[in-house]
Amino acid sequence: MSWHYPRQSPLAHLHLAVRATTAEAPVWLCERPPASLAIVRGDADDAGFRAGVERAFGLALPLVAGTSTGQAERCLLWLGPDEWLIRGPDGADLTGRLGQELGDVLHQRVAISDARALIGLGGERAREVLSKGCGLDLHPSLFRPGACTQTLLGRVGVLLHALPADRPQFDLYVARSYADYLWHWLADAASEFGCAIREGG
Amino acid sequence: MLLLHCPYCGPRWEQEFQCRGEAHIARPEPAAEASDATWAAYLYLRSNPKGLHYERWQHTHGCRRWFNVLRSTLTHEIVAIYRPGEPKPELKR
Repeated sequence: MSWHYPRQSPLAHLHLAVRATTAEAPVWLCERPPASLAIVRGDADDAGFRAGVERAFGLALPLVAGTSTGQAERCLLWLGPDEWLIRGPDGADLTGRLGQELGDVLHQRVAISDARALIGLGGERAREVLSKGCGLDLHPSLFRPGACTQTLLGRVGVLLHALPADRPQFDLYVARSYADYLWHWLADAASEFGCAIREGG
Repeated sequence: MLLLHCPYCGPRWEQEFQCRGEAHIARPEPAAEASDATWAAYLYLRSNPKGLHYERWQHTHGCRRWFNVLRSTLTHEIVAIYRPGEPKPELKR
């Protein structure tokens, strides 16, 4: 017998929806709505693997370290020389699509939608907030829009994605059980600049 | 703090990595025929030099890949970083 639990955000207890404002602020935080996430691993030198992933999602596999393709809600992020994260709309069967397109090509695919929480961070001082807990050089000339990397932020492992946008905006993928800690760490780090909570969508 | 150049990700700070001990330690083959002394040496004996040391490191909080580092245990100078399978760089004398 399968048992279906109601899905709940790991930040539900913070009641972010009722605290959200549209006010301008030097830093803003939001929880992104649920998304479908999957990890795919395979040989980047295998043309069949590259073509299969591209057929499945209509996005080219990013082959350069620390880069991504696509937009925020629908993207492929480089995690390692043979490992990528796929983000698609909530409920999308990413691993099913991969299985169809890759067939016999050697690969590994894992659905991780419920393993991660997605936090959005933006505003003119957003890079300064991140720099308080991350040793990475986040200067916009190096960590450009579209860049992504796994790193440590406030001692927690995160996947940081600089969104392709005109103004500084980041998506942070964090293990679900660290979401509460990371949210409070970010809110604390941002408080000196002035921090607003936004709607996630 | 050490600044290590991950061969896959580029320069990152030390906290993202873990040092996994001495590199280039070959498993005795065939293992079933290795004597107890050979096996004990494989498991436990390390060079522990004061100076240049071949080490394996892992980019635990980044790409999670392993690579080799030639580092001085005395000065922390990093002489070489190379991928697994690449030839071991010769020591400068």
